Amino acid sequence: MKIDYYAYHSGMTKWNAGFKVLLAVGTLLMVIIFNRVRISLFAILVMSGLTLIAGRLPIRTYAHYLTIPFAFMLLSSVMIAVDFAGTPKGDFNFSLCFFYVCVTRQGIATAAQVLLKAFAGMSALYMMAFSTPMGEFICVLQNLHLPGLLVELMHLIYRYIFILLETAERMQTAAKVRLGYGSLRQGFRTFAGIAGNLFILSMQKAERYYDALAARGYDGKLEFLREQRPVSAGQLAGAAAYIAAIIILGRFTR
Amino acid sequence: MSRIREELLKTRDLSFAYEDKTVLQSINVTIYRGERIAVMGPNGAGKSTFFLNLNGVLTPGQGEIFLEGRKLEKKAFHELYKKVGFVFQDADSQIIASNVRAEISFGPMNLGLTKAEVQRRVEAALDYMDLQELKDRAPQYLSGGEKKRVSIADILAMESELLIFDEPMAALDPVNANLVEQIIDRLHTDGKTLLIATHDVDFAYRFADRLLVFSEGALLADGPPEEIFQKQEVLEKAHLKKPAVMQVWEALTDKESLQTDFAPRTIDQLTAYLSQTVK
Ligand SMILES: Nc1ncnc2c1ncn2[C@@H]1O[C@H](COP(=O)(O)OP(=O)(O)O)[C@@H](O)[C@H]1O
Ligand SMILES: [Mg+2]
Repeated sequence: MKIDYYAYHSGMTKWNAGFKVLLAVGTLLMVIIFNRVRISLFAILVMSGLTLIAGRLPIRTYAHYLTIPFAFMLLSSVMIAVDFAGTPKGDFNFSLCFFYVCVTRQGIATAAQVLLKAFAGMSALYMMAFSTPMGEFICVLQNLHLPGLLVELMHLIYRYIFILLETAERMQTAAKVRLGYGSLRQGFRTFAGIAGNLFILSMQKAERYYDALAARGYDGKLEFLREQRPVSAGQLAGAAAYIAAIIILGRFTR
Repeated sequence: MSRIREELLKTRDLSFAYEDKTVLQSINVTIYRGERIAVMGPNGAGKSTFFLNLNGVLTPGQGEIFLEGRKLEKKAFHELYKKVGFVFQDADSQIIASNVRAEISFGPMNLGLTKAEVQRRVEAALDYMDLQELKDRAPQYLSGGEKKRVSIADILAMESELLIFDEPMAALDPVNANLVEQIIDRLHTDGKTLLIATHDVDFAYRFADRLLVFSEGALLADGPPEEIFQKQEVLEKAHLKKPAVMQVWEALTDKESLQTDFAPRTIDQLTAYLSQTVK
């Protein structure tokens, strides 16, 4: 949920949301289709650059959020690179009692390719996530003509998640000051109690929320004024140059 | 000031029940243009339910509602939201959009206005509530006082003449409570008709020119605050205390026999009077 906070306070918050989504999804597709190390590297550079420089996300925060996915990606790439065999058939072999851990040059290359591809995709999605508030993202989906009911549900769920979180936090604090988390068993009991209370509270509040919607004339259609954020010429030119660079890197260099 | 009392909203024998539990019994109230009405009474007396009936969210089981003297068809009750704005007690249960500007636009959008008009009203409400700087913020990153201001802007943008506030100062710190009171004063100056539920007798005495007291779903008293706060049986039944300023004034007028037509409503008026007369 912290990501949500950064999205609202990013230097790129005011960019057109559709543009950002398109840029992220486009990068993802190009990285997968071209499947080239140098394109992945280029995409990582540009996407991370956007997040850190244009979005002004502190580099430590960015690194923090990348650690876990990166660890996963690294682990799976290692699994791609290594092979277990009875004979030392790789370019580099490590003997382990009965069998060998073999690594081939080919294997390393493939692993690096996969790792960078995944990392590039991740950096593109992070560029979007760290700069696009959920509300605007939902509006993009609305523009893509997703069913209205679905979009409205997403809107309301998004809003109420935060209210529920706040309520849960308050209950937790209340439990803590009464030593509700003393032992592990007590902790579980308190947690169960909070979860149950939250559910009951949500049911009660649902009615109030509906009343509040009706009080402002809700008639089954959730509509808001939407900010018009035109894509600037500079952004458009930048995106065009970026895509052109990727195509050139992919097609005309060996 | 000429005092032609123009009728804005009237209920006749309005009753309401949740399922089988009667919550409002035969309420008769006429609200005139420009009035400042405080609505008092203990928790569960039916204040919020009454407001929801006036605003068209709930439909009374029995009774009639008149808007500007015209009797409304029962079918038209749910259109009352166009004329009667309702600021909920808890801003969090009112705010639904994911940023302040979108949030304020929700009411006007439902009024079927043109986009330009919605835009104009949102801007005006942002200015009025001093929210321009927060207009792109998400509600989850606003303080309690800021949320309250947003929830008021929500209703202002609908430009209804009658504004209802349900316990607007509840859960606010003194600074924000003070701010909301200033906003309420300004709304009165700007010609709005105000109906405000409150438990704060001192505020009610400062603010209101009329008091409605509810108790167990019935309208116990309706009249000028200076009269109602004198009625011991009403105060007892509704668990109300006398406003502090009134108590002090009574103590003074009893002992020093300061007999005047004037009665102070606020601490400021009281101290000003005292510093003038008591040397
Ligand atoms: N949604 C509801 N369903 C059933 N009973 C309700 C509901 N809301 C309020 N009540 C009951 O109606 C009575 C009046 O409540 P309310 O109008 O909220 O009073 P007040 O605002 O004066 O505190 C209370 O007894 C309350 O328990
Ligand atoms: Mg209430």
